[in-house]
Amino acid sequence: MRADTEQDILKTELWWTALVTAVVTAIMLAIIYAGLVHHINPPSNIETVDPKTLHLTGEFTEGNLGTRVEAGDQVTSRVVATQFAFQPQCIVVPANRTVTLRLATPDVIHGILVTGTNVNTMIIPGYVSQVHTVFTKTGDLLMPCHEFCGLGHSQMWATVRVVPEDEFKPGSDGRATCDAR
Amino acid sequence: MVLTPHPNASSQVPPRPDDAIDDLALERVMREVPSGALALSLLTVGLLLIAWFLMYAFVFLPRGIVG
Repeated sequence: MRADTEQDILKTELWWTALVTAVVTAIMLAIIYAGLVHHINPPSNIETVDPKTLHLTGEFTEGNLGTRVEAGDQVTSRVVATQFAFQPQCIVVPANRTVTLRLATPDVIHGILVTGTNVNTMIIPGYVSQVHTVFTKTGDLLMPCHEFCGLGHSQMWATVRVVPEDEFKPGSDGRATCDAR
Repeated sequence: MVLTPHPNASSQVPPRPDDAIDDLALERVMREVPSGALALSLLTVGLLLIAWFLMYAFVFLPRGIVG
């Protein structure tokens, strides 16, 4: 092969390398922009919990599950994911307010997403998964398990009921349930 | 079963003179091939990039904060 042909090929390869570098840089900048300006970040909470006593003591006992308005008007929903159901099956949250979802599991790895939102996290035995978000559209949103967790996986889903802020009326104990509406 | 040899198997057919690789023709092909590959690569990568940014701008960002 002639030297100038080799030079041409080398030039093309370098040109292509520069183009791919520019594409990757543009995508990385877009991700950084989403994180810094729009506060869209992967959930990064690291908090351990004993899966053997999850339902007996601590914040994930049955009476604590569901949505509660806590100190500082913070809306927190606690959900336990088990084979093959979420407890509770339905959580109610207000629109246009910061909501914290806290999830744990006593058995195997699960995962959730809330349709039409960026909420998406794994639920790993021994850890508390936490996601902060703001729901902007009202209505019933599907929250399926998106990590294969066994034969009943396809039956495992819950509902996130997003209500207008003025219709979100927690009880005197700060709790809000789908049944109460 | 008796295999009969191919009639040409034992005979070496000399290459025809017009089959010989012409250096100039090779150079020309080597010059032309990358432009086609580049056009195809630009098209596919460009379409992928456009699809990514459309999803980013019209699906991902409007879905709002999470973290």
